[in-house]
Amino acid sequence: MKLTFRVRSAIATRATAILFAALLSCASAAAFQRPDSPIAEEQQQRVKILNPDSLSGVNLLRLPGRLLSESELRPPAGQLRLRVYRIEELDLPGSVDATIDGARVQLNQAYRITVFGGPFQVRNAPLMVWIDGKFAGMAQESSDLKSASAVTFDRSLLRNGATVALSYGPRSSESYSESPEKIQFTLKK
Amino acid sequence: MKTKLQWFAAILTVTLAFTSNVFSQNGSTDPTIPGPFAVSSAIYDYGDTALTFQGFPGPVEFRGSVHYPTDLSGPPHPLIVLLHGRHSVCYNGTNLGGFVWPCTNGDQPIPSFQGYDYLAQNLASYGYIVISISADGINAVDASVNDAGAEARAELIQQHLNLWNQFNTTGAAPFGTLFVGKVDMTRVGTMGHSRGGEGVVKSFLLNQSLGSPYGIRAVFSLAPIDFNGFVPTRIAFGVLLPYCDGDVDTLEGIHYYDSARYAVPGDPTPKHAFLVMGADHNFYNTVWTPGEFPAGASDDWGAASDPYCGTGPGNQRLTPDQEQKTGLALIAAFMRTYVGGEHQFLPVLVGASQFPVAPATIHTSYQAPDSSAVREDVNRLTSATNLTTSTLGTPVNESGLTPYSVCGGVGETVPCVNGLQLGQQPHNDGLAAPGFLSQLITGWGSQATYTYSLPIGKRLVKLYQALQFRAAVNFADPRNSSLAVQDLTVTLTDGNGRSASINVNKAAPGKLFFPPGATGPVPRIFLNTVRIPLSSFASINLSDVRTIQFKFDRTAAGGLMITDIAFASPPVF
Repeated sequence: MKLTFRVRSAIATRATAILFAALLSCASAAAFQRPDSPIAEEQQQRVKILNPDSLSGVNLLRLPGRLLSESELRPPAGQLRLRVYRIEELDLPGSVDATIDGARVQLNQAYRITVFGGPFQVRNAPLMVWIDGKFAGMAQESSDLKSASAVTFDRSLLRNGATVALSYGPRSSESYSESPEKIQFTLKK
Repeated sequence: MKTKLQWFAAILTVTLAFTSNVFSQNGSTDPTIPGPFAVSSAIYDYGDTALTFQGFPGPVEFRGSVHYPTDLSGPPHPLIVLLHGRHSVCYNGTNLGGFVWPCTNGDQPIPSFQGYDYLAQNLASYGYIVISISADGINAVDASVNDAGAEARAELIQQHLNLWNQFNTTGAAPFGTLFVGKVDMTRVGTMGHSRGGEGVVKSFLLNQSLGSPYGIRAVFSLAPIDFNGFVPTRIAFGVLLPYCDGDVDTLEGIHYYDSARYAVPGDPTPKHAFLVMGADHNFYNTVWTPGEFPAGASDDWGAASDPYCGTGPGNQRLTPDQEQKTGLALIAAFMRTYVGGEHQFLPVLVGASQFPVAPATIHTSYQAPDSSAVREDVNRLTSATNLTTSTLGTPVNESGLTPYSVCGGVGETVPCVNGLQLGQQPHNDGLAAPGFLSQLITGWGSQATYTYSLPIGKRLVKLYQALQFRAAVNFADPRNSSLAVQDLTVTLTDGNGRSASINVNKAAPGKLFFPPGATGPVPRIFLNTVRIPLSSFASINLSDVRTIQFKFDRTAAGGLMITDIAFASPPVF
């Protein structure tokens, strides 16, 4: 028996109340996390955003971007069959306060790294982008599963000659695959 | 004359006894046997985009299935919530559709939420109301949020609990008043698979942060991920790790057990971990299993050539039916115990007997609640101090063990064993630094001993059912013969100088197994509980035990990882 019923307004009201309460309780919830929680450590390896509300409602994966670098189409490489990388610069809607390696900075741009290849499997293990072996972000698959994109705020990762790679889970995973071409900034930044 | 409090306690006791036993199947210890009640089922569906969560970049469907006893008369029924993990979200015939939500171009949603119907059917036949909720909308975009969707999954569960509370109180479409007064929102159990496994842990914490409007009494994580480091304290917790998991191949879900077991002094709740040999990640969900759904299903184990987990001759992989039976047995036993209040499954849950799931093998780890009534820690081995001084404060004596060191604890930057593939040390593997479970790494090349003395006040061990410790054969230590079971002698000595000895392989057959497999994340160093019933030492005075000695005299040489040495009993409730 399948029936359909819409209760969106009532649910939204209830959801808002619950979410507000949840946000207020974030401090106590954090007490139930190990201080060296895995994804937190990886995410905060280089960059810490101090005012995440400034990015509220902003989908960095869909913001228009300026193309900084894109490799040529090459034969598939690695277990994940990577063929192309693309790096775009994104203008943030407002300044973002952050620290990078502990130093306080104000960010106005972010950088979207997209790798093409696959098709990628939708897995529970995270798809992770690496630049020169440093974690650059968790990658979201495209609708056709032939590309995956991550966003980093750390411009210093993106240097000429750097290696772009993708893996399911940590870098030591057997799935770790490097893009056939290293980063080359031939376009004017 | 009885006081009001005494009358209340008496009435409450009778009521709880009645409700906790009302669904018992006359004490049968096989949880996979269907129960006595006829089952009905339905799907409720408020649409693909009915829910939005603040900070989550996409709409989520509000949809689920319910399995329930057709006859809902009698006391309110406990509620079990099932949450699937991350999977493709749309399909078209036998092809995968676009990875986008809601589905487009005529694609249909993949009903991952229906992949646990075998479990829901079973529990409903014992009187439970079981809902399985859909999370395709979360799966489609959770890689674009920092917590991999954990908060969104917790919010989704809370929304469904709110809905079922409404069904239980005022009633609502599509069920009208069918469930009014029928759902016991004070007895809720949750099970999540994969990313859902982290979601249910987060859900418990979220519910707690909201003042516990719903009585979540048990949380079970099936092959979960551990992105966020949540710690399930003050809740009966169980985790299933499939040995041949090719998706979450780090088996990082063991971190929940490892991090919770000593996190809160006085934690009154038990923790369980189950390593299922020969199981993969996907077969627990029938929609993810090849042959049981037309699109998107796969065997997640990738290395076909592996002699244990692969598909070649002699492999020890479980068939989908065999694997689903292990999931059914573990989850049903867990929920019927900690939500339903049944007691007959405690022996299998604590490793005192085997689950009836042959030919599958399940290795059980059990951490008793932190109460002297059911647990006395002899040595937690949480730091190097415990090499010379036990948790009880008495000297530890060793002779002939080498190495003799503690490794792998929180904050450690070096793994216990160097040079292994990712996933071969689940206790220390993950996205962060290698430290999670501190353990003794040791070995022997000739006869060696490892001895504890018990102080005054801690010698009345007959209060407990078993002496137990967690251990694993270190496959990377060449002193272990490939595929051979290790063994040692455990001796207790009483105040009169009398001793009783038992060899571990007799008391706990096969627990010190050489981990199988040869490719990728296998073999694995995975510490399971070695449980020695104290009845094995009945010839001595268990009211006055003075020493515990581990003697490595059964094999010529070997190497083990050891931790969590304790006396323990099943939980009391």
